Amino acid sequence: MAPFETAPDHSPAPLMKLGHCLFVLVPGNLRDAAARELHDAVAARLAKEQGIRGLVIDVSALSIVDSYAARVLDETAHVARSFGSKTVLVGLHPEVAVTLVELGIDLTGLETALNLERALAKLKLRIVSEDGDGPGP
Amino acid sequence: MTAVNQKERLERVIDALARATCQDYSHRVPVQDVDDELLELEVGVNMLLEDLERVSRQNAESLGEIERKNREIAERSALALRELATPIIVVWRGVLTLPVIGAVDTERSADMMDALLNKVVAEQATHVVIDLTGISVLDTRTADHFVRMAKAVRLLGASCYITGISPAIAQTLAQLSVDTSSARTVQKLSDALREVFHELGVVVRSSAA
Amino acid sequence: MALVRDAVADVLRNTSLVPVAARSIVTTLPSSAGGEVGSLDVVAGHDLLRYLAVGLRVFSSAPQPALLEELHRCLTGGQGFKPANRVLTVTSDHHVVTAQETAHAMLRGLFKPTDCIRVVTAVSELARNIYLYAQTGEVRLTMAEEPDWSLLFQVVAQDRGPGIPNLDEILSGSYRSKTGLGKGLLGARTLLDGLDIKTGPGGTTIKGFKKSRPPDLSRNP
Repeated sequence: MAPFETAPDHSPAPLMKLGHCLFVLVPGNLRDAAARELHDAVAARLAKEQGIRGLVIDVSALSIVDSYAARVLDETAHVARSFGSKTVLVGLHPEVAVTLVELGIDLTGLETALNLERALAKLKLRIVSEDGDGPGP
Repeated sequence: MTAVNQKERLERVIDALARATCQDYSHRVPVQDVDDELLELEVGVNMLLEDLERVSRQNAESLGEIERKNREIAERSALALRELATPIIVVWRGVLTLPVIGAVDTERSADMMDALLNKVVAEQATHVVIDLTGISVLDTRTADHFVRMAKAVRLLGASCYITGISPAIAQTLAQLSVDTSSARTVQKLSDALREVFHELGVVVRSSAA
Repeated sequence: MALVRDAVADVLRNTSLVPVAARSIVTTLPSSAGGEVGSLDVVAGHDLLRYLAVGLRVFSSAPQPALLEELHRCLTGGQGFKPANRVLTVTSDHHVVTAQETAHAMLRGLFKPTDCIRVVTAVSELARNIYLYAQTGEVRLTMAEEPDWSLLFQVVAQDRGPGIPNLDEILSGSYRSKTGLGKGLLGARTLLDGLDIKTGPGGTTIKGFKKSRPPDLSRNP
């Protein structure tokens, strides 16, 4: 069984585009193979589409994030940056935050927000300041 | 012969009394089967030493009992203090303050961190201020706990301030190379709040004309 | 040997609970209540105690820690619950997730939430190291109740792989592991109360544990 069901257009189902943002909903019980596929799917989508400025990764279904999963998240943010996108993580469980801190994992490549609204606000700030139009930060 | 014996016997009595002054009550004057005035003294001194030894033992037992009771009380107080939950105060919408009072051990700091992070999510907080003015001891280990707390708050997406650290302690922490880069350390809680309100675009104005 | 259901009914009969309430609590117990007293393992036993705690909260306004203690004693015949054991084979990333879920199911409700996640994450790290570096091995998970009712969770990760080179360097934190093996080990050690590693060219056995105070059933979750 493939970790992700593939939609007819060959893009994995959990990636959605909202304006200039790519939105990823990470499913729970994430196998390593599925995590890598997610990373590859994001990279492929960013390569295919122009003008994506932000990547929002929703991890509220993840009750565990260990060192491997954290690395894949970091690498995904790194890939996004190479395509000119900032990454914001949303929905991190408090217990997971504690574990990551105790594991010494910093997740420096991405930002975090408590909800989707704030995540988009963080990305809009960046976008506005880069393009120079719209109200100031 | 009698004179030498008497001198010896007196020396033994003095010896026993000398040891007693050093709190060794176990020694006894050897008693000869001679019924003279010295015998009364020797027997009398032995009886005195018996009493002293008995009382000394009783005192030691009482002291042991008192020490045990003290330890029990200390344990119960520590437990009671742990159970005194540190309140997390919502001073403004999205702004949380955690006033830390008293001694903080590993378990209490873990409980505090759990409560704080859950509150951050529940309130969708934007800013957290951890105030350490009331903390009784701030050593490297304790400071580490709070640095971790601040990192976790940041990881969830809120800003974190640590306040109430005196300049002396701040210097000690720097010397011990405690990493405080994930939290903004400000000496006074009021200054931290002023910064927070400024960031939020909240203006505090006196209503006096 | 008495059935759990009947033993519970006996205890509740001697309380101030109205008979209807007591009967209601007994009939809503999970199927494990059909087992014999002393047959429940610590996970099933505490699961049952949670049902009882909920039932008592519904029918009596005040929490009843003394009654719950009595029920605990009654259900274990004074011996404490039997340890719960699970053994899992690990050969793929799929099994890492199974190990996570199995550990979580054993810890949930017994350890406080953050400690559950700490331990499950440590188990995940150890399981992953098995399939990544030794291809195959097994993970044993045990939850046991100590005489003072505190809880002890143990994980034993065992494989016949090539062993961990530079173990001392890794554990001292100075070795920068290229593959994450070291990071996983150090991580597991931080998250657990203790980690014991025996490794050689014939294989590796890693034993880790975490303790917890007994769960406070009288408080609302």
